[in-house]
Amino acid sequence: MSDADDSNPIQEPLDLVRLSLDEHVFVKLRGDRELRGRLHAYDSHCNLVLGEVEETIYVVNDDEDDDSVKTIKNNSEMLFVRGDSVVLISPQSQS
Amino acid sequence: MSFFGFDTGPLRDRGQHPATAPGFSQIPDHFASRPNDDDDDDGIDFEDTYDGLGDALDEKDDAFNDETFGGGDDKIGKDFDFHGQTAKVADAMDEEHEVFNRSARKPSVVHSASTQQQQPSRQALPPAHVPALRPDMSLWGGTTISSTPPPPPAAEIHREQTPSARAPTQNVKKYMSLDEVEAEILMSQKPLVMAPQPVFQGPPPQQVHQYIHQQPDFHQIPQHGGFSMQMQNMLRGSQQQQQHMQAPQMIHQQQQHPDHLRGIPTPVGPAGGARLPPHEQLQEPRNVYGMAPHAPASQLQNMSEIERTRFLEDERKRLKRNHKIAQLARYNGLMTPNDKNFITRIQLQQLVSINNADDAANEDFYYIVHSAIRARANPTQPLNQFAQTYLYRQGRGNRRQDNHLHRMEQQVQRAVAAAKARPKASQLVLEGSLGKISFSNVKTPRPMLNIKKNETGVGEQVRKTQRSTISGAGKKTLLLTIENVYNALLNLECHERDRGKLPPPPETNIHTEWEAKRQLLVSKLWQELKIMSPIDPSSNQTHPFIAILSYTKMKRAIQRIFRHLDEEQRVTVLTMIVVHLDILDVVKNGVYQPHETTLPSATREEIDLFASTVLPSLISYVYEAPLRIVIGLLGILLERVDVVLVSKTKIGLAFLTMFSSRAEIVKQSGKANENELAQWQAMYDRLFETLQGHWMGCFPPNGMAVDDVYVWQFLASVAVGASMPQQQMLVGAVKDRVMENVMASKTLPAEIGTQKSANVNLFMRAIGLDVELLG
Repeated sequence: MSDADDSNPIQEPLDLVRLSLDEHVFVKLRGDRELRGRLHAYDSHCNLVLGEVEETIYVVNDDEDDDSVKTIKNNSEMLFVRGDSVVLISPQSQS
Repeated sequence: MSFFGFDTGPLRDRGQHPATAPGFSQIPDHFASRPNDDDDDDGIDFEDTYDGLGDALDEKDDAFNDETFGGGDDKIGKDFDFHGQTAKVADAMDEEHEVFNRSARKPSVVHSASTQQQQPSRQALPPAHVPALRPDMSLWGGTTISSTPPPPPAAEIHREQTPSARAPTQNVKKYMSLDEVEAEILMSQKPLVMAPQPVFQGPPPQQVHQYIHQQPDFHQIPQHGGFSMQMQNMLRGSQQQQQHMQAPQMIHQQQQHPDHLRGIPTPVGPAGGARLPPHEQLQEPRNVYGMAPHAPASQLQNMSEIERTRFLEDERKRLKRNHKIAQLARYNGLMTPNDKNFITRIQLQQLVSINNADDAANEDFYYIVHSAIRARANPTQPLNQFAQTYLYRQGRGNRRQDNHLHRMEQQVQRAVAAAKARPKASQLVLEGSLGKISFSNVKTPRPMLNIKKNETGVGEQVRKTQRSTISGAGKKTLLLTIENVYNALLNLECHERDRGKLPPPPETNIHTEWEAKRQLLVSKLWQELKIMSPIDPSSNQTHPFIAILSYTKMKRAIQRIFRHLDEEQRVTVLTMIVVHLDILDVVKNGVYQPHETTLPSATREEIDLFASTVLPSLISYVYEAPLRIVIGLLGILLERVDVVLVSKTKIGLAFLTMFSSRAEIVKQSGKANENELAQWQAMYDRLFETLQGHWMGCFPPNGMAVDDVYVWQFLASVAVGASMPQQQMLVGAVKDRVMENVMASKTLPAEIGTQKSANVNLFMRAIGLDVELLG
């Protein structure tokens, strides 16, 4: 809404996130978690509101000989993600 | 050896502290009612709990403690105990007074009655002589004899009390005159002096004196046998005390002369409901909450059974209440006045911002817009009470409260205004410091990143890339375009909102200025829509406007954009969509594939969204458009678009329905001129020809299951304008479907069935028939 936006909307990294508003995004979080969902809102702290989210958690098995990774999937209709856990946000084709 | 020369050994070794020793004589014996608990080994032994630290003390310098402090275990004098002495004397003096008065004035009356010996004297006494809290002796004497049976040890003494046998004879000599008393005191001094102090630590002389007067049953013997007998009694009493046999004696005394025992607790008996003496019941809460009981224990003694019960009941209630209050007040005083001020300030600020219309618009913008939308969506339902008070706080309410609020609000408003007026520095540079300190508050959080914006450089760069990629129409460009549209739209909407703040009409200057700005913003928005990009039929590129319209967020924006566009611009948008109808995502993807019975859910959502957001704007325009525009649009459609393909989709059919029904309405209203009507008829015929043979293709596969009302609507709109042969062709084409639907409506559940037949009826009515005729 600021005047500066009129001519060149992309001035800082977060402006690129704006392009993904209402689009499907891939969000990588700390703690071996990933989210895929529709980006509804974000702010300067990278707090996100996502819709129709599929969360993937990667858990490494505790067994010493067995290092296989287990994935846990959760689905949420709406999710608020606190910005301090966000590692990356990436646009993603809807599939 | 302890510091002060006291024996620090276990209590047991030392034996009992003489209970009659002056400093301790006032301490009530809580275990008086227990027979003899000296050999009770269940209690905690001091030896068991003593940790032996005392033995480790360095006591080598304690050798001369005795000289220094005048030690000696058993030679502790009592002459320092002024309080103890005085306390005993105080009562005794009062008693003495009373007794003296009694015996001096009405000796005969006092002792005439044996059953109620005290009552007459009580009545006879002038009220001035009765201290405020004197016990009601008649009540006490009347009840306690029956209610509290004396324990066995007191029995022998108690026997003496029964007055029946000797009362008549003793009565005369029962009380002594003051002179006699003095004489006896003088006499008693001698044995006291001679008696070794440790042996007789009991009552001081005054106490003896008191006993002489107060305990006639005791001193009936001394009366004859001299003072030694009396002394024996006293000694026996003190010995009893040493053996924890105090209670029976006390009860006995109490029954003889209750008033003498005022201040010394006694067991309550059955009336109290508890075995504890009343003073313990009362003392307990005093310890816990530091509150004194309502009435002293001594007063309790003087009440009748019923009164006492009631009193105890009241007392219990009171304590309960006190307990409750104490519970509630546990966290009292946690907040300092400063804390309270702080909270109040926050609350007041909140209040002001809520009640302030201007602020509300800023801070609760989304709420206001949301409720406005809600209100418009359902105009019959008024804004609810909350919204009313929230948005229009001038709503009716408690007048006085409003007034009060208003005043407070004004005060706070001034304060807030002052705070706002203060220059808001977000950074503080202290002199001599190396860095800056940045503040943050709710409205302006401290920036985590402070990136210097290179206005010119970056701008140029972006613009360049924008230009270079615009033909590429990559996804990013499209998204960027959409964001630009939104920016422009938001600016425009923001500006529109300012319209309300404009002064009333006379100030034309401001209005023209505002209007000029609005025009600027609209043109900016128009530009961002990229709708005027040249249409290049030969290129494979999708027109940018159509491309961005494939995005959900753009579809949502159309309705908002349409509001700000003028007629010409609306036509342009509509034309642009119509021209590209077959490549519009909702049409392109809306066609059922050969083996598909349902569309993918994503596509269905897009179609629904388009139908609910974009179409209404277009329809509302078309339904007011002149016929020539409809003719023109249909012409473009037939010329440039694959109508058969379009007719297979819901959105495509919606467009066709839109045009044909609008034309039909204009035609029937008779407002159109002949020329236009002729043009329309030609156009209609063309459409009919194009679609002839494809009518059934309009229906979605598996039409039984899905809602096909839009098809019937289209057929109806076509049929209305159709000529007789056209109608016949139409009916012939869809006859099977009609029959199918009518049959289905009979077998399906009532609700769906009715819907089905109603859908068919839309079409049947259009050709002048009715479903009923078929049935």
